[in-house]
Amino acid sequence: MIALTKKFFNDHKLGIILTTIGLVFYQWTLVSLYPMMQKIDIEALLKNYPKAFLAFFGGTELSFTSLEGFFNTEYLSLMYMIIVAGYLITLVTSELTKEVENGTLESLLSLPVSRATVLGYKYVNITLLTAFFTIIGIVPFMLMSVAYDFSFSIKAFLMVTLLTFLFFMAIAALTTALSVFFNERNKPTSIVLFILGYGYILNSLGQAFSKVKNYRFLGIFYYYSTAKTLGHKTIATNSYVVFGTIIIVSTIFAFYWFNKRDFAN
Amino acid sequence: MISTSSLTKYYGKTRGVDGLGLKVEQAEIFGLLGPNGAGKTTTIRLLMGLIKPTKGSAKIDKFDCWAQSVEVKRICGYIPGDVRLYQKYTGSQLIKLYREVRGGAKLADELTQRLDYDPSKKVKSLSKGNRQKLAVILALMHKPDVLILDEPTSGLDPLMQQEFYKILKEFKEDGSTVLVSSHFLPEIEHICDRVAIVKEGKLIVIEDVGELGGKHVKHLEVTFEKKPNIKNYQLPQVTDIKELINNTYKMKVKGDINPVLQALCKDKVKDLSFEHASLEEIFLEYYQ
Repeated sequence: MIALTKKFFNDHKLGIILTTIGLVFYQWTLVSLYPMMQKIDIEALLKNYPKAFLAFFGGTELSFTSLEGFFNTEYLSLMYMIIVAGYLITLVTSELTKEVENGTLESLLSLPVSRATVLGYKYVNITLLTAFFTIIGIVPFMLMSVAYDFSFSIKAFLMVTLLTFLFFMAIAALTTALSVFFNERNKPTSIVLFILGYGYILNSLGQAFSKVKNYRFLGIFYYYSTAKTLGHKTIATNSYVVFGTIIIVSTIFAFYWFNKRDFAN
Repeated sequence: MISTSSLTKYYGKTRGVDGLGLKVEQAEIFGLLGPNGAGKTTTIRLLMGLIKPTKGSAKIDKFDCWAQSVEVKRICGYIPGDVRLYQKYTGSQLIKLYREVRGGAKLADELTQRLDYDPSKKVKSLSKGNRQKLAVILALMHKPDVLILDEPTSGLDPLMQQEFYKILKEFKEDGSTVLVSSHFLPEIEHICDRVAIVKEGKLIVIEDVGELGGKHVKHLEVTFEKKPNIKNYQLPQVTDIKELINNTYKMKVKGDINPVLQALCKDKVKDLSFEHASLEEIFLEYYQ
């Protein structure tokens, strides 16, 4: 059955290579920029901005001059999330809904493999790839920082790596469940993008305006607090609970539905 | 070898098949004949475990097609009605993938040669006929005990169709069971032992192909050198004799055509053509 894994990575090799190069290059650029940013009195510059404005764009949890704060503001809280989440949504829908749309899943399911095996292999490969992009998205930055002799907390970075993995797995599992349920690729994509977009705006508004603050917990980004994790070197319990629940419920639903649904174009 | 009992499938309120009961013996080529929307593809998808029956059951060998679909698919070769394969793969890569997942591809080279197929080309660059050839190779290369074929000759040229029929007959001689759907009567008559006629999801009749041929109507169009004696053609099996233009006649022949051919020998014939009855006409025969 290794053939299915080989097929998965063969089908996505170009996307994997390009995303990996992009992420590593991005981190290398950040590491190169960091010494220069330290020379500029960013803190004084930021004081001139309204607090609500700063809060909307990532908060003031960490000092921008610290490596953690710089990495979080410039990369972790938005760009990295957009790149990897976008890639994962595309990957999952192309592995499931696109195969239903194209009719190729019918061919695959006509072979003597159970539906659980087919989805299982896809799911394991998606998980492996999520873990890979989490590691490749953070660890090179850590290694380059060590090479440049920047001071930072390894524990903070390891914790944020774990949080990021849970966040991306929640997105991947949710997209898998929706992709198994729908026949058209645009539906799971739109729903997940809506959940992410609405969560991001709600969280940003909640940080900027006290009236919205109490509703931040309704968006997924409330639980993906990279600044807090880097600052406190620990992951909040509610992040484990929410991401864990999304992953478990979505996975169970995906396997249940994939096993019972019809595959006919 | 293949059996269905009260097999029913509804897609919401839309009927797929309704109470279908079939029994296909081992080493038999069994046809499923019906117009578009009759439920042929639904029946085949139910047999392959791709869709779940609303009611009833289907079995291949001793395995339930839904609950034991892996075992069913292990002994089956399947050609879908609308062949959809991974576009970026070449034929060779797909043959390799299928061999690795399913195991066994002992006939791959022989079938590739017999069907005159080039496996080095990517699926996206293949014509419909060549895609169909690849689907035939993928379905048959592991020499399955049961073949489930949904309009398998669609897109194949007449020469390749004949080669495909030969391959099917060889499979039958080796003990394989074949269920083949078609909406083209002559194809079914050519290759099948028995045929089930389905319409609007229901089984109309199961017939031996020999008997089916004797029952159904053919349209005969004949042009004579000079005006014939029409009385010669007023036979029990001939109806609806009409003169179209200048000594060209059209008539319906039902059953044995030999008395009509004998009558034709008495006149000088310029041109002659037989046209098979449409499926609708065949269904009318069975409804009456």
